[in-house]
Amino acid sequence: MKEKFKIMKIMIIMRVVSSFSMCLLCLLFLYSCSHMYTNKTNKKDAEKSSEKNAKVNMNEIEEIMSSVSDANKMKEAKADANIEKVNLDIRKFVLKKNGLTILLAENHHLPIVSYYTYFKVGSRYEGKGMSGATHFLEHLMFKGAKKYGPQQFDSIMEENGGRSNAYTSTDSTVYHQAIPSAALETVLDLESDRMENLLLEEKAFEKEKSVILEERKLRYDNSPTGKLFQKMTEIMYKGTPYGIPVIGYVDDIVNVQRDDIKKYFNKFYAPNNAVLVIIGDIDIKKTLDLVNKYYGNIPSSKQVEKTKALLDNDDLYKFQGKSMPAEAENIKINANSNTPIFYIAYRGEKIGTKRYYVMDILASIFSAGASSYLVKKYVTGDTPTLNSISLYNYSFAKNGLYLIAGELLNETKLEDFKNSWDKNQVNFCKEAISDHTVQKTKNQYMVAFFSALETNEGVAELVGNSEFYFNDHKYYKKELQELNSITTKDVMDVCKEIFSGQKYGFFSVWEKHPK
Amino acid sequence: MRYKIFFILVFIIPILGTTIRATNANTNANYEVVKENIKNLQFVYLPDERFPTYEIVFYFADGALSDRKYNYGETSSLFSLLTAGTDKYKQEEINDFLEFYGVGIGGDVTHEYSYFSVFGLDKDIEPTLKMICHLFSKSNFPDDELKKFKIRGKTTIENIIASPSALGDRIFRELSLQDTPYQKSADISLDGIKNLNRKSLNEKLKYFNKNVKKRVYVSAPKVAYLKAQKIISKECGFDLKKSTFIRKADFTANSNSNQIRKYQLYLVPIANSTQAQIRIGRYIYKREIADIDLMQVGSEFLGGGGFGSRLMQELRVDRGLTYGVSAFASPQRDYGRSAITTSTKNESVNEAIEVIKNVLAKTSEGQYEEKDLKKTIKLLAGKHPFNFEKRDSYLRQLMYSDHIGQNYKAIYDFPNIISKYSKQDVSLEIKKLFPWEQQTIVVVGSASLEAELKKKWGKVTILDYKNFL
Repeated sequence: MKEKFKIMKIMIIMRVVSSFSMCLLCLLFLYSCSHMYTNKTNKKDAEKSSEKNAKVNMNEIEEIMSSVSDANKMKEAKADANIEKVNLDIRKFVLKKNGLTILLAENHHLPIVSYYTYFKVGSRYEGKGMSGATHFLEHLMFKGAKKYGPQQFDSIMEENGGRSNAYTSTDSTVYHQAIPSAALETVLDLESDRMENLLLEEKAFEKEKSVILEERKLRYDNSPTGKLFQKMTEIMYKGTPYGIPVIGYVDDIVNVQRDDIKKYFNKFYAPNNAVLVIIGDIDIKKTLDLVNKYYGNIPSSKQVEKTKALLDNDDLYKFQGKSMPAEAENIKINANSNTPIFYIAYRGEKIGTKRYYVMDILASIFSAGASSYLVKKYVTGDTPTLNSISLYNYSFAKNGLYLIAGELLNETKLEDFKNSWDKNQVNFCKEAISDHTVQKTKNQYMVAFFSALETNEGVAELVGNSEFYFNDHKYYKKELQELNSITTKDVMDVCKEIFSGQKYGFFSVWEKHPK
Repeated sequence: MRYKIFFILVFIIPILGTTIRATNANTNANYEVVKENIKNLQFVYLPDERFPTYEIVFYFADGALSDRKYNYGETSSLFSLLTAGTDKYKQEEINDFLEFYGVGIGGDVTHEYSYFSVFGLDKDIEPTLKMICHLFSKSNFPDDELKKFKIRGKTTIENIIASPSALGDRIFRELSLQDTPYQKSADISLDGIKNLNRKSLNEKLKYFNKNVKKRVYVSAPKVAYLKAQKIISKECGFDLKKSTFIRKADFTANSNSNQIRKYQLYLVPIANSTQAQIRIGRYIYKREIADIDLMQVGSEFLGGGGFGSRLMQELRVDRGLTYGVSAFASPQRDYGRSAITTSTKNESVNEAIEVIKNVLAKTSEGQYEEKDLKKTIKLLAGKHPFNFEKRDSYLRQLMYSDHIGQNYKAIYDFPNIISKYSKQDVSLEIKKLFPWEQQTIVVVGSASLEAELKKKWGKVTILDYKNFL
């Protein structure tokens, strides 16, 4: 539990995780492009919202007014080909006293709520000897705080009919709950208690180390694909914080001290380093009152901005050397895999650039669905060589990889496949990219978008990720413009940059590789 | 002409059909489920005007039990290969057509029933659903595509060792359900791949189209639903008059294996394994399935998703022996199975099994606090409305209810029903479902575990994982 590494999902959930935030943004783009749904503001709705704001605004809370123009009611949504009716009515507020950002939306379809807390701290902030600390802290957040002591968090959550979990990535740590709406105040109390006063009890601290070591075995040490992924990121991101595994090295997990984690917590777990997202059967005014009651007195962290200013320096995350390190050319790992499983890793792009969006569309054209280019070429075509293949735009806030993951068919030789890749990649772009395949990608995104909107969780992740990465929950609208400007030629140009000469790393795991 | 047909569909057929309405009051979902028969085909409609999309689930009242010996996985392959080709279109054209519209297809084959699901934009329902119907009626499983499918299937099965957890599940199923019709997974095996052929797939498709009872579950805006009715009842090639067969397994009455199962411990050695997969559970006879909601409460209390479950508390929270542990007791209409799933480092395997044994003993005897049970019941009640959040999940609940012959009211009343269970009810249910002396225990891990397992638990049967592919 308590962790959802992006990496492990790669072999399983295809490209959903690798560019989840992006994916949803693409979807919005597509449905904007379709002209089926227009996004115009209803004047009456806007007026009503302003009225409501006047009542809601308290001295302690600032509403970010730009969001008001979005005022549409999810509960009134109708499938009448009008984007306005299915658009998101997200309201953004900031607690003036401590800088906590709050995103709220009402959806009364069912008596349930999705509650997300994004902390803007991921494993890239850890430093030497502290690998795995962010993830460890995530586990410890369930081990008791001042008001609700050891073993009470989960117990109270369950007593109130709620479920809770969390995940850690290189950039963020996210806690999320799925609760009946009647439990909202209890969750606010529990979450604010542990944000302010985590216990870090010694006994639980040591026991949780064993749990994390078991988790490490499950995901990496006893998993051929996990081992391969860890080695690949270590080498591709060598010398950058992204090269350190989120779960941490065994020695660091074993040796980390309670005081180290305590300092880490004090530095990064503060309202001015967090975004709270509550979507579902709530009343915005009442919820704001409650947020203010429970979070209003938590002090902000004075260290966090200063520390992050240093650790967010873009130079720290740049790939080392102008081209791929020689050692990445052909890494072989011995483990229990009857057929070779491989990664082809190109240097990618950080989240948010135009090139990044283009790469996302390209990834879909190449491997989303049975009719995608690489799947047809290598898996379902006339002379298949692979059992599966997927391309991921695997990007983080500061840098990214463009990853091809695949598994060979029994009869295929690894070297033959690699040679064929080298020989054929120059033809990929002209064979794969057309107006038809770009449009197909857009249509696929549109359906997936509506699917995501069905749940409060889907909406919470969409706006939470927008806020997290761009400090703007509505950033997707800017992205829409960016995406809207992307043409088939743009996709072709980026494709050629990647597949016509850029060196790549090749990593494989197989039981017949040397030990 | 088109107008005339539309008129008949909209105004006449619903009058002739049987309409049953069930309202979801407990979840406050404002849904009204409509059941109606259109030309001998039952439609279950979940109105939803919120999104311009449709969700359709085709239910077939037969599953992997229709696969003959050495052809295990044929039904599952049938549905996987529906897009492989027809008399009119090649696989590539079918996939490109459906994916261009953003249509998603999926489904599952259980032993007792199968389903095939489709979702897409309602504006595209005509072309896309017509293509799906074309696949049902005209798929012909071209040899070249079948050959590639078999090669891929063989690779996947032979490389299951790369996923220790999936391997553990597969082996456990075969051993715990040994000598029952449910022993083999519904997915294809190496034997099944060897014997899979075009002729038998064509025959099976014909059988599913012409003989097997079907039901269609739809959630969409009303206009799209009416279009779906029209297309499916006319173009899917289903023989709706003859499609009456419902698979029933009479295993309990006919089998010599209808005996109480004995405790068994198996070790499946895997080279270089640093962590063992542990599975504990058994086959559940139809006669033991009395109350499916009580089964759910019992298994959730033992090892449900939360940290409050007895097993999670003892294994992870108190001892740090594992990252995760879960338990389920899952009923179908004619059989059920129970399982406890966990993993731990080699050194802790005996301790983990011992802890599980003690938890089963204590919970069976009611040696726990009632408030902990109440917590589980509240958790299940709290989770309940989430089952109606996604339409495909909602439709599948309705489908399962129809499959087991349960009234929809029971779905909505679940929180009320479980609130009445006492500590004694739940303890007795756990005792019934998880008696230690009837458990099959499977450990998939290092060969070095053999000696310690023997010392602690007595007889250990060693098996090669390759026998389960």
